[in-house]
Amino acid sequence: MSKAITRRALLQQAAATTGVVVLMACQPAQPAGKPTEQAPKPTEVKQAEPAPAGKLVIDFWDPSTPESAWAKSKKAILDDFNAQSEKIQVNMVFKPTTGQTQMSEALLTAIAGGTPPDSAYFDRFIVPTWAAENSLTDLTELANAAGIKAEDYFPFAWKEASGWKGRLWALPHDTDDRAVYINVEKAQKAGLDINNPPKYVDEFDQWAEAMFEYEGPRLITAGFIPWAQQGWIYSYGFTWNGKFFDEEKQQVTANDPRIVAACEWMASYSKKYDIATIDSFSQAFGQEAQEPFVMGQLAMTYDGDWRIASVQERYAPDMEYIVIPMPYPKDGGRVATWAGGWSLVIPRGAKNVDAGWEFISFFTNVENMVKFCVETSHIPTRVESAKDPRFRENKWHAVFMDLLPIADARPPLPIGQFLWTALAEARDLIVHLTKTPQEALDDVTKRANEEMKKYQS
Amino acid sequence: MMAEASALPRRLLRTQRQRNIVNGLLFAAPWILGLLLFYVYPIFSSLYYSFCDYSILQAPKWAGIRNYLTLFTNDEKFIKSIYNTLYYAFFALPLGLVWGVSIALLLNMKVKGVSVYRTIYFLPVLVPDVALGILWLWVFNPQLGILNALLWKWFHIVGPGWLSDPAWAKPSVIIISLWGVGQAVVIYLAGLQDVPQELYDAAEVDGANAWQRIRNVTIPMITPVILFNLIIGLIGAFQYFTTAYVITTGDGRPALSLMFYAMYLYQNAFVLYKMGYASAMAWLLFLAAVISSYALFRSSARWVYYGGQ
Repeated sequence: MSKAITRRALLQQAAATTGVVVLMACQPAQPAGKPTEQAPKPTEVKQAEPAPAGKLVIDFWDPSTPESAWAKSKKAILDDFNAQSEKIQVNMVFKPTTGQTQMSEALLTAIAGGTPPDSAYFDRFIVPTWAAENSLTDLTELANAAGIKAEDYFPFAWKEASGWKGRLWALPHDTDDRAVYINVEKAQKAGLDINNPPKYVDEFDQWAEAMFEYEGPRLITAGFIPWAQQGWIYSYGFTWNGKFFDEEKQQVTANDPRIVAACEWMASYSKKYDIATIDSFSQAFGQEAQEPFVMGQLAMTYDGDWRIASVQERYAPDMEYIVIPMPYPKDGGRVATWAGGWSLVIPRGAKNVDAGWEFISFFTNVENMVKFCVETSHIPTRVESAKDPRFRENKWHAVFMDLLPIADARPPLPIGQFLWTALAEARDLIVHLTKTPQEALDDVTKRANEEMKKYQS
Repeated sequence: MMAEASALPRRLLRTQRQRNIVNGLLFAAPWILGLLLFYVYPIFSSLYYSFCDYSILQAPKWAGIRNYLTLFTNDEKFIKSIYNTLYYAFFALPLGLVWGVSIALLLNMKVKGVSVYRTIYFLPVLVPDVALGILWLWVFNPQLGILNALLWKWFHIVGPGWLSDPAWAKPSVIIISLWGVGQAVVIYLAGLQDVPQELYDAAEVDGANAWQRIRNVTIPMITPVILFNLIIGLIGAFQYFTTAYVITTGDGRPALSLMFYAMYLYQNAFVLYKMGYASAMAWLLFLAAVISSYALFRSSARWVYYGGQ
């Protein structure tokens, strides 16, 4: 018996260690509150087309679900490219993102194995990490030769794409940004003047308080929950005018007093409205048509521009709402938002860099960017593309467009994902009053700087 | 056949035996290759990686014992994940033991339809862990879940936030683990069937009541099975992952109260691509499992009774 069990123990351990490999295959996508454009399906669809003779065939790896609006729009651009190019034929290959990340493990292993595709659609946020890991092709010279420059893009997008050693590693594509949605009916019911929405955070807190609604002891509507939807520490950190990274010292400064103040404001909602009540209340939040802002469970929400197309127009076309930039503290705050989004890259080790470049620069040119963004309700990162009047047809979408020039990027660091995860956990500890904002952010700062050392030698 | 073989020259016999060995090895080759490629090689390379910085994208860089040092000196989450895992093991194991043995005793009674009951208690084991997680998310939902609804209806108690409340989250997953006790029950049942009837008869003749019979006959006789279930349960608890991952989508919410060791290991490996760090964690887990299994074995001399000896 003794022998059988130690062997079993050993095998189970072996399974845990090698499980590292096995687990890859079966992870659901991260529901960060934003509808992702990737399928959790681990299937792979390769739409290989017979290449006309004499044409160089290259691959484009993309995470959009085949047959989705995103994939169709990209495919159309790709077909245009194939039609106009005499030398190159591009194949679109579906490679879903995996686990809690916005990246594809297939791409990771292909680059590590030295057999990457010649172009790929890539989360701009992780560009600096992959560049620091020597896994992307430096595009600086190619961009210079093609006359592509920083001024063509909104600052946040260029900042991310050139976030490692000041070289260009990706061509920015679409983006998104964030602001506050207010339910007009709820505001009016609470006696608030919707034509005069709050500008500063203290007024905003009064609005929130006025819209908290109870039925006996039961919470029916929450005026506002700072950590719901897109309410990350980044969101309020920027609004409070905090700095997450000190360029000069090359140090993470997540415990900047302004960021601590922003987190104290978040925690004030936990204390005032009782975190257990809010936790329990938000467990009933659904998705899509049952989404809390549409259901009236949230009177105000901090969310992304995509909500207009993916929720409001689809599930509640008659609902009246307004959009305002996040109100800021009178002393030392500012109008702010942050923007994320995607880009196109040429992985390191690509065999046909020039062909890859020809394709990704075509894909991200002014017209194609407009085309994709209009068709799929995204926001372009090119200043010229953003001028298209269709992005302003919806007046609330225009609010998001107006915020683009001042939008921040999350600090483009090789430890970007680490910092994101650490801050998300810090937020959870802070709003559950497990740690004070100072304690939680000191810890994040310490760990992040420790992590930075690996890239600083 | 044998006579024919022995009549052959010795040289040929040797090659025949050699040929058998070669053939045998060839037939076993898929398994041997699998073992070497997918177990032996990863196990030893993970030991090496645990002393490196390794992101997959670049070749591993030697880092000495830094990963291990960081784990113990500069990683609160690591300590928290150990605490959570031990907490889970400390309550889930004994509760599972008492609960499992109790059910097995009930299912061992000679009543009508006992096989139906046995099936019912085993059924939850057949539910995949992912479905289990999602199912209990709904059961425990404080607003829409059946549990709080019944608590209110029957007892007029406002139920807690269960999985959304840091204080209740771990007890909640322990309750979930008790629901899946059927696997252990089947093994206990097998053990119970092996308890000789004459021991019960003798105890009865001596005037032992039902409780005394369980206490002094049944329990001692099934201690080998209890030991087995404890060790399997302990290793399972150390590696607790799937249900908690599904419930929290991997981030251990609320307030890291459900960040278990294996989940933190996974996060390091597949979210942050710190394979070296994750490998160090895996080896520490391995050591912990070996040491605690060994300790259980050593202690078993004092409490496990093997009928034949």
